[in-house]
Amino acid sequence: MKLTFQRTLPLASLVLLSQLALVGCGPKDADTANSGNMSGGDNSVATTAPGQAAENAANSAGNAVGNAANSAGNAVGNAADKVTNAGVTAKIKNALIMSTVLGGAGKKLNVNTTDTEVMVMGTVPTAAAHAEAIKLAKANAGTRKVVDHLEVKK
Amino acid sequence: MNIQIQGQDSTIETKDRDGTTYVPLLDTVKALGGDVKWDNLNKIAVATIGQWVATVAMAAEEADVNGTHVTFDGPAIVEANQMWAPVRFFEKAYGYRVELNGDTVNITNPASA
Repeated sequence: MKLTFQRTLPLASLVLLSQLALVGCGPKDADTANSGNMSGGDNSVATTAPGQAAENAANSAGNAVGNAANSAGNAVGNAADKVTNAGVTAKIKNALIMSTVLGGAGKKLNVNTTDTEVMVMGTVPTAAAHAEAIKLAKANAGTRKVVDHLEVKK
Repeated sequence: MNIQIQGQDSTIETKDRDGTTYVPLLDTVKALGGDVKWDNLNKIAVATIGQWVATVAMAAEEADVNGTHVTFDGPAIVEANQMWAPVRFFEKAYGYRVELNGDTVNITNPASA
């Protein structure tokens, strides 16, 4: 019995002390909980603290901008498929100018685009340059037929 | 090569092509207080600085500036979705003074110098 009491007393003391400790922390915990409720207790309402609201609004705005940008990107992408004849000529001439295989010869070539054909005219120094010019023209001609009026001359 | 705008250093890139110094059209026009619109159907850039409107087609060595035909010393090229123009374009199209000092090109407005 004595042994039991000696063993029980510390246990009881611990329980009592822990309860007192909890009671002592009660108001602080309650305050914390209230604060928590203000900011996060009810997610649907309480999370809209001013800073968070601004962030959410910014996120929404960002998404809207992102969506608008995507739409614009798609529009540009679609528009890219409907390049005019002049646009096709420009694209091919740009590719010819930028070609390292053609070098300076690319700048001197002429391109004429109609609704059905792309004519490439001028002089290239090598067979490799000739092949490159035609390849670039075909790559940018869309559905148009590429007509080769190039001359290989050193 | 470095680019100065009105004597101030800029972050505008340059590239050399066949001995001609090129600058990105959009960045340079914006640094000079203008803007550029892109006509994707015709592959034409419309670069406006103040009252001057220059229309430049991709791969062309010429531009229309308020109805006046202007030629420059290399074609306007498009690389990585960006149009590049010879730096002298800004002299011929808009009347800027383009001066080379060592490895720096200074673009200045003679009216405000």
